[in-house]
Amino acid sequence: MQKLFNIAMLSILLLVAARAPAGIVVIVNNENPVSELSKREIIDLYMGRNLYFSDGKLALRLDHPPTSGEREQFYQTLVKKSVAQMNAYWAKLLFTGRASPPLLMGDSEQLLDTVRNNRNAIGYIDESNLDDSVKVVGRVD
Amino acid sequence: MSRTTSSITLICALLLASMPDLSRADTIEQQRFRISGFGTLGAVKSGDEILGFTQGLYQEGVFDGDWSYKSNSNLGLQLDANFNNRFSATFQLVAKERVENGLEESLEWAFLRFRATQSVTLRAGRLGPSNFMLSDYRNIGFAYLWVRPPTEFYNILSFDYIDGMDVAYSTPLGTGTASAKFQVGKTSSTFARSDNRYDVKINPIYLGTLVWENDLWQTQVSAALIEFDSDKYVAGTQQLAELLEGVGGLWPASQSYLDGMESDGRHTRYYSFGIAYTPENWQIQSEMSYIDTNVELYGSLRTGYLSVGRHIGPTTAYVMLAKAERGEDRKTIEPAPAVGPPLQPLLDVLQVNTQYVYDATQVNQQSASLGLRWNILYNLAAKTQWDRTWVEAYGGGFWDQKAIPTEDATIDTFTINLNYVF
Repeated sequence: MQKLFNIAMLSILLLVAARAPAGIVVIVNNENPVSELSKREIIDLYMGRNLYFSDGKLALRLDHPPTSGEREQFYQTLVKKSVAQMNAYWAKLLFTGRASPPLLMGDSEQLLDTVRNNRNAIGYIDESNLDDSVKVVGRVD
Repeated sequence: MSRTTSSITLICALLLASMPDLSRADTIEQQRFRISGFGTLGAVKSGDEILGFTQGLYQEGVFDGDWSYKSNSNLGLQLDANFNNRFSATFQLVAKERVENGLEESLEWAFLRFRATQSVTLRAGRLGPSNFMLSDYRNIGFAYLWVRPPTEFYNILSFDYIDGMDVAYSTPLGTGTASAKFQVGKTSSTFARSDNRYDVKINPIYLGTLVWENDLWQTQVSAALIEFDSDKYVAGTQQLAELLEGVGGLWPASQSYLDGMESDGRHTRYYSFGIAYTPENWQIQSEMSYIDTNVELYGSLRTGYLSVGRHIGPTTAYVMLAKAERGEDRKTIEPAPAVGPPLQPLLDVLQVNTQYVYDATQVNQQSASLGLRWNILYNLAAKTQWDRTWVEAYGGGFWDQKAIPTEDATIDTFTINLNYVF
C-alpha cells in the first residue's frame, strides 16, 4: 500500500513538474557583442526608457502576442505588471510619440527566426524552446 | 496654400516615403510603418440649470443633469513612419467634440523626429505640450486610471498642441532615468462660453520639463511662460472694452477695469509639480500647480489633486480629491456715477457687463471622486466614476456658465466609459 502511495505521489509530482512553467530567457543574435544584460537593462529596453544596446546599435525589441503565457510571465516577473497594465503604459508612450512598443511576433518560432536573422534583435522565450542558434543574455525568474 | 492643404500634402508624401520595402522582409531593422489607434465611448451626466459640464473650454456644456454621449467620446488614429534609425514621423488625427472641428483642429500631432544621439531627440511640427503629467495624452483614456484627467487641474490647459519644436535629453540617473525637455512654439484654440465663440492665440510658448522615473516612482517639475497674441483685450471682451473707452470721461474708474482686461502681450506663467508612486497593487498620484498672470481678469490660480487607486485583480478602485482656487478675492465693480439721462442707462449696463466678465473667469471649486476601472481585455477597459463638485458662488469659471452663479452649487457628475487601443 505504501509503495502504491509513493508511486502515486511521484506521478503527481512529475505531472506538476511537467506543467510548471520553465524560466524565461532573454535572447539576442549570435553576432551581437552583448554577452549579458542586467535586469535593469532588460527593463529599460522593454519599458522604452533606453532603445539602444551598449555598442550604440538601435535594438529591435520583439514581443509575444498579448494573450501568450510567455508575455504574461515575462512582464509579471520583470515589473509586476499585467499585460493590460503594460498595454496602458505603452499606450502613453506610443500616442505621445515618445517610443514605439516592441514589434509583435506571431509565436515563439517566428520570434526565434527573427532573432536569428537580425543582428540587433532582442526577444525572450520560454527556456524549453531555446536552441543554440541564438545567444542567451539574461534570465527572468 | 492653406495650412490644412499643406498638412495633407505632407502626410501623403510621408505615407509614400514610408511604404514598407518588401525585398527586405527577412532582415527587419525597425518597423517601417505602423498604424495604431485609440478611442473612448463615453456617457456623462452632469450640470445644473446654469453651470454646464465641459472637459475643456473648447466644448459646449452639458446642462440640467442631462446625459451627453459626445463630451467624453473620441476616436484617434496614429501613423508612425520610421525612415531610418534616426528619422521618423508621427501623425495623429483625433475626432472629438470641439466647437471648431475641422482637419486643422483634428490634426493633433504631425511632427518629424530626429534622434541626434542615444540621449538627445529633436522634434519639429505639431507636438503635445508636456507641462503636466498627462498633458500630452489626455485623449488616450486607456492609458490612465480615471474617466478623464482631473477637471480642476487640467481644464486650465485648453490647448491640445504646440506648433513648434522641442529638444529632449535623457540619461540614467540613480536607480532610474532622468529626462529634460524644452519646447517652444505657438498655439491657438476656439473657446465656447455662453453661446459665444472666442479665438484665443498664444505666441510664444516656452516650456521646460524635468522628469525622473524608475519602476516605482515618477516625478516631474515644469515651468511654462506663455504670451497672449490677441486683440488688445481678453478674447470676448473687445466690444465691452471699446464702449468703456468711449465713456472714460464720464466714468473715470472704468480705466482701471479696462487695464485689467488687457491681454495682448501679457504673460502667464505655469509652475507645476507631479509625483506618482506605483508599487505592486497601488497607484498613487498627485500634481500641484500655480498659475500666475499679469492679465488681471484671469488672476492667479492654485490647483491640485491626489488620487489613490488599489488594484484588485483586473479591476482598480480609486478615490480622488481635487481643488482649484483663485488667488484673489472677487473684484467688485463700483456702481457707475450718477450722470442722469440720457447716458445713465448705458453706464449702468456697462457696469453690469463689466462685473459679469470679471466674475465669469473666477474659478473656485473642489471635487471628491470615486471610481472603478476594469481591464476587460488587454486592450479594452471599462470605467465608471462619480464626482461630487462644490462650486463656490462666483467661482464657476471651469463650467460653461449660462449666468454667474451667485450661490454655492453642488453638482454630481456620473461618467461611464469604454476605452480601447488598437
